[in-house]
Amino acid sequence: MSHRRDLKLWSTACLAALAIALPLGAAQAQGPVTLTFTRAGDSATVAKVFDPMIKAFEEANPNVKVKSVPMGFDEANKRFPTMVATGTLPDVTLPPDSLSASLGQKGAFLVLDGKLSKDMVADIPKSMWSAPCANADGKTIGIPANAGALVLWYNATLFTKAGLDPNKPPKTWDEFVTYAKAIKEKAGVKGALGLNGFARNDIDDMFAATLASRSGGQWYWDNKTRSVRVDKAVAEDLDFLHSLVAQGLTQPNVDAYNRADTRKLLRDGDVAMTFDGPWVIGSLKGSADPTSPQSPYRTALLPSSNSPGATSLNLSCWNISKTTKHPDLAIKFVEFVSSAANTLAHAQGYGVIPVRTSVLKSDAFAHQPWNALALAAAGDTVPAKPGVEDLSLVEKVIPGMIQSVLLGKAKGMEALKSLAESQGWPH
Amino acid sequence: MSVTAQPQKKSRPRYRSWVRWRPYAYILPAGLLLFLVYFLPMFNAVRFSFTDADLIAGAGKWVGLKNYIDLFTPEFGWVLWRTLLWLVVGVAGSMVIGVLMALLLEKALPGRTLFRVILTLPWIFPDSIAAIMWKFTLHPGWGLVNSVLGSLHIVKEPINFFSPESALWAVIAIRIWKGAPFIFLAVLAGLQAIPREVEEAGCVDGATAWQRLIYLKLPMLKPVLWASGTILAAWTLVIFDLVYVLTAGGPLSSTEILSITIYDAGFYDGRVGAASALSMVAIAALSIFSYFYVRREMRSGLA
Repeated sequence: MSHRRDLKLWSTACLAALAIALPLGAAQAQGPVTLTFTRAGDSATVAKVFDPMIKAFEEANPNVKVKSVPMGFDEANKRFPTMVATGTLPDVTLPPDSLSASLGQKGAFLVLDGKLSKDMVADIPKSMWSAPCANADGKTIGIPANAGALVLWYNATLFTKAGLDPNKPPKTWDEFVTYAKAIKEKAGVKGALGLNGFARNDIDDMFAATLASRSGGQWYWDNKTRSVRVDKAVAEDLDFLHSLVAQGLTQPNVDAYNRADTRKLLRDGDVAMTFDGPWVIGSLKGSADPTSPQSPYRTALLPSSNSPGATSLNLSCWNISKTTKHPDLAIKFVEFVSSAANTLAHAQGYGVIPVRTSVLKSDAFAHQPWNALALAAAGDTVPAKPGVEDLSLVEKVIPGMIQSVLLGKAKGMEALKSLAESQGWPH
Repeated sequence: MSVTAQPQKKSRPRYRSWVRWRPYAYILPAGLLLFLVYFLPMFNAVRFSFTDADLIAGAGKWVGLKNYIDLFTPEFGWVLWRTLLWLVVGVAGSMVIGVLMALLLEKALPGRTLFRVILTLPWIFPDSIAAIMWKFTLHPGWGLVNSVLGSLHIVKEPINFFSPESALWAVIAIRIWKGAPFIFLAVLAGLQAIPREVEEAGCVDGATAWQRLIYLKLPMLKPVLWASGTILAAWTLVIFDLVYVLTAGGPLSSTEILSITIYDAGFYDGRVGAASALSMVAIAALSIFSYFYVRREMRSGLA
């Protein structure tokens, strides 16, 4: 009897499992096509910018559903590699730039050569198509989406308080140091300059920018040897950054602040200047809109003794997952969000510089704080980060080296040589 | 002569065979799950440790002992040293504070239950939530601790608790904050299991409170302390999220312990082979704890 009871139990369990699985499978087979999409960044801002675009795309394509998967930059850096490994990366992504380059080199993205509209390709500068997030081994693996160049952000009110003319921001690095000393003395701030010394994201971007502006357009990475340059110019720039910290011109404890933290310092009037990009606009829009005519925040090209306006450029790209089941639809969606109108909405809403030349020339970018940002992005730039497979090199090892100099643990040349030795690079 | 019809019996050999295999059929789903989530990943980890497997590129080719040989670097030596500090100081600190808390709250006091609940709260917080909370609380710019110290004029400049010199100690202190409640609960239960007559006999014999603690209570708590300490040590060794959220192994690798190194190798660099080899080191260390724990349990006749 118990034998029959056991058989009944097992067969009931199997039938129940089938009864659940079959309708689900049938439901998946029918219904609209779903495209998954992640624009890495602040979720609230992304939703505000992209939800209307998604709605418009769905209305124009009735059998398509676009599902936005919110993810911050840090979360994307951590999750995207495993999503690629498990084949669950969203169909369309805009990853952090160094991650885009790293995954692109590992073959995670669809090759787009010959699949993009000629008008869109022609409207984006040629130099951007060879950026690491857009090109891997000569193949197009991404569509440039937006750019950001580092400029000098400053608080005009604090400049006035320090007896400085806010319409005459510093043009050379010597002037910059003089201004910083005056601000520190008279403006009652925690530091004249908000410097991000946190050794993960973006510290190398800041370093690349100051090196470019001090050394006339060169940057710290040698593409031939695939290593950090170990030479006098790079060492001197590192030592210069340390001198700003050592002279007390920055906020105390620089290593505790990343770029998001220094924006808070600028917003709260704790610092008068910071090196940052257009992302300040998106970050501060909710609390202290920098685009408002009453805003005290202004932008200027980085001071330079050699190459006016030289700075570092972050370029982000739209990438399409190699494992997407709907490649043509994904390309259609990316071209839709990259249209001139949507590119402008993305730029103004998120706080980025558009890559489409036709959009960059519009009046929207002709006044503060956009004008210096647009000028810098279109000017003499070096890549913010090297395009390498090894993510920890650009996110941890190089930033660690820069931080060690900022904190006075090593001199510039010493730190560079130590880094080169640990990585087996020529020096 | 009448012949009584016998009821038809089941085929006995088939029934006996089913009865013999039935228990295995019932444990099959759990066994399958255990195989899939424990044994198979363990086997794969050992296998990958001998290859150059990559997170995205795939399984990779055989490289023999290269991943293990590559561990012999000064940097890894420092990782092991920091992990040892983290383990020894973290566990010792948790035990001392946990025992003190249990001794204080053993006796009937007004509000004892409320205090017991409050002191248990750190253990209930998920590690990542606790890390975010402490990161903000200790921030030099807008953290509560620096605000209070500054407003009371105890410090002139804000303290950076996560500087390269102090970050490891800050992280260990937070670990002690999280780990002490576990020891507190275990020791409290142990204290309550000590017969009252033992303490009364000590009082009658003229032993001071300190003498009763050292010569009566602590020896009787030895099994509890041993068991809870071993478990806490094993947990502490494999903690990842607390340290990662607090410092991500920085600044300047000052808080990079073994779990962070494994994560960075596997998920940041995508070097699954190297990460697997590092994991074997962690497993070897954990096995030591397991061995002593099981041996003691078997000796005490409880296994």
